[in-house]
Amino acid sequence: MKKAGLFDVRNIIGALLFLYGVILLIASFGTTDAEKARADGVNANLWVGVALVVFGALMVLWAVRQPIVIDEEALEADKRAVEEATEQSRLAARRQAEADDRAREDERGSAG
Amino acid sequence: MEVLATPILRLDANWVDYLLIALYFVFVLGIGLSARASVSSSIDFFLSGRSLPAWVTGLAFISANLGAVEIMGMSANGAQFGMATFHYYWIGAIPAMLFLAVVMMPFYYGSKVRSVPEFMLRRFGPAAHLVNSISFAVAQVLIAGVNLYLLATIVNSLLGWNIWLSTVVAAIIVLSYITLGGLSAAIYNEVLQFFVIVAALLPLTYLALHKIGGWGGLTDAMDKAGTGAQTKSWPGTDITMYSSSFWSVVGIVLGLGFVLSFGYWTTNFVEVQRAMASKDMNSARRAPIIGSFPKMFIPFIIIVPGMLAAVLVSPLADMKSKGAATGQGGITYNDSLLLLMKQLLPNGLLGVAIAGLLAAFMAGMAANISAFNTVMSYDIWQTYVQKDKPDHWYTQFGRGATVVATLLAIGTSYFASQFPNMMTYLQTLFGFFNAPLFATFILGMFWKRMTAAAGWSGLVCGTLAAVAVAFLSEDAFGSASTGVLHLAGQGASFVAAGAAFVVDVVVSVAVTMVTPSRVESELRGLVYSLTPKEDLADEHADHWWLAPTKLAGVSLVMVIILNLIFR
Repeated sequence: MKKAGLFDVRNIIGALLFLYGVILLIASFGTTDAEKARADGVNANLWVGVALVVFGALMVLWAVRQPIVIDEEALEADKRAVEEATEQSRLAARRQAEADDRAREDERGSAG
Repeated sequence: MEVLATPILRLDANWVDYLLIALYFVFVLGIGLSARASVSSSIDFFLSGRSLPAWVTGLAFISANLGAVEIMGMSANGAQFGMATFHYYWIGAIPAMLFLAVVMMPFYYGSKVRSVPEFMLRRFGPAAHLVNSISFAVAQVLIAGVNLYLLATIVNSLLGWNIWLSTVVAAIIVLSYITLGGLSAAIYNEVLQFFVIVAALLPLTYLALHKIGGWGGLTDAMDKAGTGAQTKSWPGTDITMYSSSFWSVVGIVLGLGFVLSFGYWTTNFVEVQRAMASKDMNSARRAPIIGSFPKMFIPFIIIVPGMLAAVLVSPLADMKSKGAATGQGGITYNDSLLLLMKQLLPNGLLGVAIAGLLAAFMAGMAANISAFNTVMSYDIWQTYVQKDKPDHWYTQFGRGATVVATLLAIGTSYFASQFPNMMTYLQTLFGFFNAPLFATFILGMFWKRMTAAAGWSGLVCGTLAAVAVAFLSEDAFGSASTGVLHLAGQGASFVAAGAAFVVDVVVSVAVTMVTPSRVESELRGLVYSLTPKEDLADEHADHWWLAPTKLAGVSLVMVIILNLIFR
């Protein structure tokens, strides 16, 4: 048993969006009046920045509070099962292709 | 370097935007590289194995189906046709997703089939498998072309290089992303791009609505522009281009709602595979249903911005009022979202939007290329051409296939660029590839007598029928269409898909009558009547939201209400 840790997809989402939020917040101080006017007077960088910081933090918090636990044995068993099934399916296909070839040859034989 | 004279489309990105874009790439490639350095079971966990909790599969399911092609295509469609575009979600996606969850998923999950070619192989044998593999590989290269073209338009509007140079640069970006990042980066990227795109599109929609004075302001402006009818979703004659409202509704419900959408959702294994990675049958069935809720509301931040762009962006509004396909500076409906972003977003938020779009196209094209790669190396080459090479030989072959597929995509992207509305082209492609596949699939699943010969001949004839309709229509296949049939726009794609479906069924039934059926014991788990019945009932669930059929019922009622509100 092992926790998903940093590779937990919530941590990755949370970290990226948090950083994006921080950058937008810093950029919001430099947003020009012309840019605000284009966006109908709203300082969009500021508000989206705040929202992203909060959202990113919540994602990370969720991952910390309820970590995913990985059953490594079950994972290994599952990978093996998938590989086996794929191999079997390819074998079956090859067998059937060969059977078809034989059937065709038989037909040709009886026709001739 | 030649700089194109289309200042209209030129995005004025500054260093903050580039920083945000760079940060994204550092993140995604960083994951890919650290995955290589340490063999981490956590990454394995997210990539494979049927052990994911419902929220992860739900998340992956939602993200995988918000592709970039969809964002650009649907906003283009919204700009051109308005509310009728919502049919692609409320008629063309939700019912099929629920069907997938309630009817098909128990069967897929139970039979342990992991890809469409694999199902074809086991159900119909090598001939159908080969036909399906080739058609799948061709479809992937064509769709990769669409992604590449759209990615190039972003590079073009960002850096101002001409479209050819932009395409080559975009292809190099994708190629290095696939080689450097690998599969693990791809999966994380798919989920990440969804959040980044929503973070950009939600404020964009809000700002645009704020500017025009809310929903009322939008409908007033559209009334004034003479496109007031586009604020209603039915009967959608703009989309189908049928003169009769009645046939337009029939076309949308049967062509889009049944053949195209059921064909897409029930045979699209990129998405089905996400659900199949669930830890049990119940989670597998709930994944598409959980996905259907955001799917209902996503169009409000994709189609509505398209509609707003057609009013707020004056060159676009001008082009629309003239009924032209291209406007000032060579803009088309495909550019709607970029034009609106340029007009409203400040530097910073603009970077978030560009990063999201770049990521989404990369993810889309990488998915097409790796799907092509798998089918080409294993389903085609290893099975039929060179059977007994060592494993690493096929890995090497796969690397070559990746490069070849990227080069081919540069060619198909030129083809895609000929379509002023990307959605029309995509629907035509789905008609060629998904509609006949759906017919063969559904017949093969429910009719145990259907023979191996019927499997491949149905597929071939169905595809040929759709291609024939597209060539005979006025514009479904661009300038290659001859115009013998008076069908145009997406209505022509609906007819082509319908023709593919009907021809496939007729040919399959006819061929089955004269060829020998397969032995029943070989079809166990592949045909519905030979699958254990207890798999099909709901397992006991403590709450209604844990029971697939009840949750699906709630989703269905909600989508009907949405249809009534915006009729």
